[in-house]
Amino acid sequence: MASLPISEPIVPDLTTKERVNASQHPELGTGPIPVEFFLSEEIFQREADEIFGRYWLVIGRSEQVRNSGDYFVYEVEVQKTSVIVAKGKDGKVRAFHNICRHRGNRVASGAGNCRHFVCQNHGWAFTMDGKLASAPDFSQFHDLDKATLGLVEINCEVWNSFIFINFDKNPAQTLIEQLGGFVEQYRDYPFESLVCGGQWSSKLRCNWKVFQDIFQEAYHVSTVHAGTFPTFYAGPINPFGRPGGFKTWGLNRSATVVYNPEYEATPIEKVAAALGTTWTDMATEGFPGSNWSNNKYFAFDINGTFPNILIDVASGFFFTHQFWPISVNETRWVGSVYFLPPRKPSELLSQEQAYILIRDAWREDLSLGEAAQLALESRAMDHVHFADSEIALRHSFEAMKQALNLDL
Amino acid sequence: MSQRLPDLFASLELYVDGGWSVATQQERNDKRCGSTLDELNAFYCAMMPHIAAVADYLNHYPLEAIPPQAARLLQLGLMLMEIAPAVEVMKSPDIPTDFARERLIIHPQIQNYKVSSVRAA
Repeated sequence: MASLPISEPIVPDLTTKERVNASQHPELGTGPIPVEFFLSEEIFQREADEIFGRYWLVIGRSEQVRNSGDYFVYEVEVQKTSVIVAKGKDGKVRAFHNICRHRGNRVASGAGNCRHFVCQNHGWAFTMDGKLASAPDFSQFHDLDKATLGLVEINCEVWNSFIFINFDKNPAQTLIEQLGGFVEQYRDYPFESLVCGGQWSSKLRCNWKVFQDIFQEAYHVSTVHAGTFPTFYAGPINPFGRPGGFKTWGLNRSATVVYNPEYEATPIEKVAAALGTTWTDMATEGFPGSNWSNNKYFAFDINGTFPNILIDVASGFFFTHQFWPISVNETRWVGSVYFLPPRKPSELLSQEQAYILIRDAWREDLSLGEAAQLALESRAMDHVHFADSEIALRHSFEAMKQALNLDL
Repeated sequence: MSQRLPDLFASLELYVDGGWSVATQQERNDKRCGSTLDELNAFYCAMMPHIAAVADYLNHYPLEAIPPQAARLLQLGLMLMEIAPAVEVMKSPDIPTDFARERLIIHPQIQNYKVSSVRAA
């Protein structure tokens, strides 16, 4: 494919009084958002069944199952399911319900490498591609055929090292169809070469969409992140953290976060930057696919990948935020950061600086979801309001409205 | 008492004594939040002048075989990364927030390096 001529990077006007994103996306509307969207038990139940039960969901990464026999177990509370992801002898990654076909006990826990999943109840053993290998005293079962008693499989596809599953036996869309333009944009981004060096999680008393919305905008950064990096994302050319670009790919969206070129690195950042790639690197060259908006001061793109994961792509690293619904007002958030594997000990130091910086910043975000949730539950307000810089939140709402055909 | 750090960094031995050289991010965060700002400042001021030399020294070894003395030194370097934000920006050991620290679960990191059983020369 011929590449386009490289044009001059842009420096958009991020202090204009114009509401640029709304004028480019009139289909997303400009009205207030009803709080019922976040509070309704009925909407939550429909999300659980029709969204988490029918759409492709990121469940892990191929680095977790590099070798034949590698497996991990992931609990998906919103579908009341324990999922096993395993790489078979044939090298294929599969997903199964973690349920013994005898009487329903679990056959696997945690993560590791093995030849068989063995149920701890009666010793039934399953191969890594889900077949029932052996069951003690099997002659005592009535008219059962071992070939029909394999682990129940879940649709599982891997795209560019992200492992997706779909609980629907016949998904309405292929994974590629669901991801849409996201696939073209990031086809060559080397997700497979980067590994998770830092991961954190928390169980929060808030609706999963309330917390997801906090990470889809940078408007909050100079206020919330006063203790970590108040001036990295907000400065004279972008005092309020507006996006440097925004686009949609079906139900998915991408908002560009730009950095402040007048940012002064802290002493420890200068130390780390001399040793390797860091969070506040203002690298001019990034991996292929990064910076679709061609921003001169590109920091990262927030890629809201429907329904519940943000795959945030920076020039030399990426990170994800995933929001797993537990109930209408409970969520498990998991934040993960991926860098190229360290090649030498000094890169352990430079990467740790990045992990600590962002972990502390995410800790600053953690109280926001619960505070907002309690306030919304008081029903003092019927609506919340999204500014033009919060266009990603607006698209999130419209996408869910469309997917559920909601009358809101 | 046997020497826990390479000769070049003997001046930092007292920090190994003081529990600043620990293996996991959880332990390092516990140490950070269990220290006073004065203690963090003292560790920061002691480590910062050496950190470039620490990185250079560590790079003599491959990731798969870092001798125990060098590994303790690496852990002091990782501790510096843990506490630097508290000293430089936050001016308090922990983040000022009412969200309890224990609620943010630190997942175990993949071990990116191996400690060899061979003593450094």
